[in-house]
Amino acid sequence: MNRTVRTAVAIAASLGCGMLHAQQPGQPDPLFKLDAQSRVQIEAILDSARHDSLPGRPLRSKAYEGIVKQANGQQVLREVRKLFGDLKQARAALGPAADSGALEAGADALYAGVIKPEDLVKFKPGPKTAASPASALTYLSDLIQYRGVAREDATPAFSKLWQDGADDAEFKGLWQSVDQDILSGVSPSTALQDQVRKIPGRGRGGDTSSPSTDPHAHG
Amino acid sequence: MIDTELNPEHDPFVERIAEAARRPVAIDPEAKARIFAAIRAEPAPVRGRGAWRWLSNPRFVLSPIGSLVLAAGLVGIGVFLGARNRTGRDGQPTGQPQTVAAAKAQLPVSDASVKQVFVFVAPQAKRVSVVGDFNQWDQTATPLVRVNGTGPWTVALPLDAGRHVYSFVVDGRWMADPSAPLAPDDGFGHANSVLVVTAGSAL
Repeated sequence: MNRTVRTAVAIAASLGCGMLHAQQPGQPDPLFKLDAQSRVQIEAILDSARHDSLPGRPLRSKAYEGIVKQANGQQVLREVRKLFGDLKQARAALGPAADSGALEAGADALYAGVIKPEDLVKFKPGPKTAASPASALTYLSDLIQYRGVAREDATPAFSKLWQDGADDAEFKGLWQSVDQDILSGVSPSTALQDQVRKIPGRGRGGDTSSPSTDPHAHG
Repeated sequence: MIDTELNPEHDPFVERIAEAARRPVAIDPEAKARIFAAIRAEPAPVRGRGAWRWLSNPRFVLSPIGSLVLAAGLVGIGVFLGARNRTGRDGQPTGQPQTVAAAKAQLPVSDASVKQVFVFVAPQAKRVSVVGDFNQWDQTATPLVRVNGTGPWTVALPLDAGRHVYSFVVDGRWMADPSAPLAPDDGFGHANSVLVVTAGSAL
């Protein structure tokens, strides 16, 4: 009995020290708020992401977000798994040179259905392009999903700008201008075409000469 | 009544045995010398390995309840000290109110971090915070403060270069940043905002 008790004390002390050591660099992992089964599966996905050289940060962040928003373990697991699949697809489309931000933006665009994998390939970083298509894909997704710009108009215009070397500031400026035009009553696709033409040296970029039928036209 | 025949003090047979037993035992000096030689020939007990000896050779007794209390105490100390050292992923302490001045004071966290200013206009709001992948979506980690007590809510944060997803929490309600692009529905019923930080960029 004495030996058992002493061994228990020694193990408890080791655990205490281990916990102390583990907690010093950060707070307790919020994943422990999930049920054990979901947590184990999410950790397995994180391991798989590491093995596949995919960023773990967005996966972990998705799980934390779900926990904070009081989703149950199965919901969180489902979203993390879905994001993992989209990150893999984004990696396949954008290539090994794509950074974490590009993969996240690509995965989000795939998740929302605003871009097809075959179109995502056009945002692969290359010698003429900026370092990361994260901004381009983020603004493209927003315009299609929330501002009503038709995918058939926006994707070619953005991919052309990207391949021509447009940088983050140009994509941001384009997004702001298009949003402003839409708010002032211009139809979304017309607003995009007009603003693309105004970008110096990029006026003939993209296949935006024949706008598609725009269901979100403001008049 | 005592039967004298059964009293051992008066039994001559018993007395003879007792007398023999009282005589000192004489040990043969040679045998005694051999015994001590054998004892001296034994190797001395090994010193050291104190922790192992402490574990394997108990010297005090701890009751089961006492051992549980001790174990719980040790773990509790670890948890308490760990909680005191809590820091967020961005290197900032979490779980306590943070002001703009505090955020600025911690710059730069790394060479790749860029100070970003989050602004939210909500004149009627009583409490506004920003949550995102940079603070583990902790609603208490990054409160915004009001400029001059009545102006917009704001906070400055050093963020690593990259893509960040975030949202504002206004009096307990999740709200996207109206001045930033939106991420697709997060799968949990809300749409977040997106910020792409590049070296030298500012919100």
